[in-house]
Amino acid sequence: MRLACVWLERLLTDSLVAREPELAKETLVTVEERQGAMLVTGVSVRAEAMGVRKGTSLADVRALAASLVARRVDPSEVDQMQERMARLASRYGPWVSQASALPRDKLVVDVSGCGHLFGGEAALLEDLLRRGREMGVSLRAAIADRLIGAMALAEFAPDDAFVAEPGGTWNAMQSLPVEALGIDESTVLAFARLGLRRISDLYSIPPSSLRARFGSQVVQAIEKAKGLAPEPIAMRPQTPPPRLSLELSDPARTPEEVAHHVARLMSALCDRLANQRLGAERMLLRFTELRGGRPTNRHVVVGVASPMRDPERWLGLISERQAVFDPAEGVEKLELQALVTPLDGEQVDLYGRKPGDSLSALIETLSARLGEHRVVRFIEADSHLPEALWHRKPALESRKSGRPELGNSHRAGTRRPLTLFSTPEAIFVRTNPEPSEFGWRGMSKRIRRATGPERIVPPWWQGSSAADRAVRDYWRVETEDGDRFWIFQGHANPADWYIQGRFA
Amino acid sequence: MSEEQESRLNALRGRIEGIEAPASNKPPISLGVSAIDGLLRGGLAFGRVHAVQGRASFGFLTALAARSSGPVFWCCLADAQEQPYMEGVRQVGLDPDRIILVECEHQASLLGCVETSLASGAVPLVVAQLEGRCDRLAGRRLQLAAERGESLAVVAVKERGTLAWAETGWQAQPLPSRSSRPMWKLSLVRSRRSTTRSWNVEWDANETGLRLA
Repeated sequence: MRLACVWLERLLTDSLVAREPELAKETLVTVEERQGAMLVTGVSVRAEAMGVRKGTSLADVRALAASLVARRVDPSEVDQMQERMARLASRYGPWVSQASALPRDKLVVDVSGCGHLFGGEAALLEDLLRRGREMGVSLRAAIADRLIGAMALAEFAPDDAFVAEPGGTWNAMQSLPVEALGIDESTVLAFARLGLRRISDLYSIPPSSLRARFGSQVVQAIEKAKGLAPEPIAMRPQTPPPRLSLELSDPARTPEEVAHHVARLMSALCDRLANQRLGAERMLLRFTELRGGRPTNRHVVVGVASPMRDPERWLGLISERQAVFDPAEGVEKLELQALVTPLDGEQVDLYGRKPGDSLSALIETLSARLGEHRVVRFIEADSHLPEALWHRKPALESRKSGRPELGNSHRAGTRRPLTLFSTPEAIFVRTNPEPSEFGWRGMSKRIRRATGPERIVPPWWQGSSAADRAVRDYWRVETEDGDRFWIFQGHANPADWYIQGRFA
Repeated sequence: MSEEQESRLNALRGRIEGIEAPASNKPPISLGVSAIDGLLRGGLAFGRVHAVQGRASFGFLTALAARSSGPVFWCCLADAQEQPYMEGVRQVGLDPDRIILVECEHQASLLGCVETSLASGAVPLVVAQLEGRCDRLAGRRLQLAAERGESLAVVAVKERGTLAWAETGWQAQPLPSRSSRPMWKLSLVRSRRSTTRSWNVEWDANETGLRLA
């Protein structure tokens, strides 16, 4: 199991700022009355920089910073902030912890088997942090096998995004302070008196004496972290994506009629999104229409780079598809479904779109017209095969999540062609002993100059099929007409030659 | 042509230019060869559509893209045999991060996407690889879109045909190289604002520049 924990580092002050954006500029703390004294419960970045800490009394803090703004917390605003973050977390996995299951500034999402959808678990966390921060929330996050580990690492790991290797949760926790185990304050103080500050310091003490001196909670926490004790957690029920459907007792028979009904459905759905402070990233429109007297289904999916809820723009994207409103023999039913994501008012314009980005608007239009996988960017991959060195990613999927660090072994300075054929074509080559002539597509080409061979060898641990494991000897050849090609010889059978690309 | 005729012609050209609204104030994409840039008054103009034919078209497209800045929309057919290879284009100075590849099913849809991209004004450079040819009407539509978006398109056409719709039309053919650097015969076969000529050029990818051979 892989669990991602999100720590809302400044939940209390952030939730105040969400309601009153001007407060972002202030040295803000939240306070609460306890036993007659006002205690600081939440600290903004500015206040922390001035030395204000949680748990001190407001009177002491005033001495530190005169310009301090102290507010009481609005519990409903905190709940809303939590709710929004839970919705964000649900992008990354099917199950999100219930609000009451954990401390209010933490939430957990089960991301088992979900990492690859985002390009790895580190990329998943990075995406999560970026989106959260765009919503104006300070957060840190970690992924680990164990709940206690994920929670500890989210709060105490040196990086604000930390991934513990599978099976390595306990190891990753070694250098964390003892309070990361989630034990009560008096025990932490007792440990401190004994000079036990890090979790690794507890190693030297046998579990029996730990239990005898500090009660069972420390031993239990360690067993949980090691995976020896169960960690039950309540997950919230899943909410289905917003969807609306419309049954037409009188089937729509003209494109105008169909378009009209779709427009009504769209504005109703977008209203609903606005009420819930949501935006859609993707819309699925399903038609049930008569073809040959039988109801058949057809659907279109369109997406956008940043979530929005402008019905006009969504309709525009849907109508990019050719003949999308063509009713066949009559449309009987329409169903519209949105893939949603939190969308707060402040960062978007009236219609729920980030303003002023004509490039992403163009990408959205073309992606809607051609399909998302037809409008792509290129991402570097780690592969020994020249044709697999770059892979495609829909341009719609917002920004790239940084380049992975790649080994440079197989990308030496040798020349690569400007264009690579989608599949290498078999050619006939005469050698002497270098390639001197080749036959391709019924033409014979004499080679003026051949440079090579450059051997490309797959690392032994890669490649499952025989083709993947094959060794190739590449040549750059220039024909008498000046055409420059990239050809290779299969190592297994020297008679196998292929042409794979063209140079300038 | 006598000197007097020449000067009268130039005067007429100047008047025609005055009548036509300037396509764009953006500085043109220079080819980096002073002889060519001088003839074209700085290079390939924005707000215009340019065309190229010949076996070295792909290299010409890449060289221009490398000399431009900002995102590049590279439009081609989904089953095109020649599509840009990122490892190769990076080596000649075209950053793969700048490229967005747009794949279309057929030429009509390809022309539509080029038109939309040009008119949006969101991308300075649109590259189009046509498998067939481009007729006057289609060329005119692209031209209007480029004017509207103050963008620049370079269209590679496979089949020979008129390039009268283009601001400049090029013929790029590979030549046997003298060193490891590619050489082309680059002919300006159509130009609305200048005479036509041809040059032998060498492409030094390390400097992302062309130079006369």
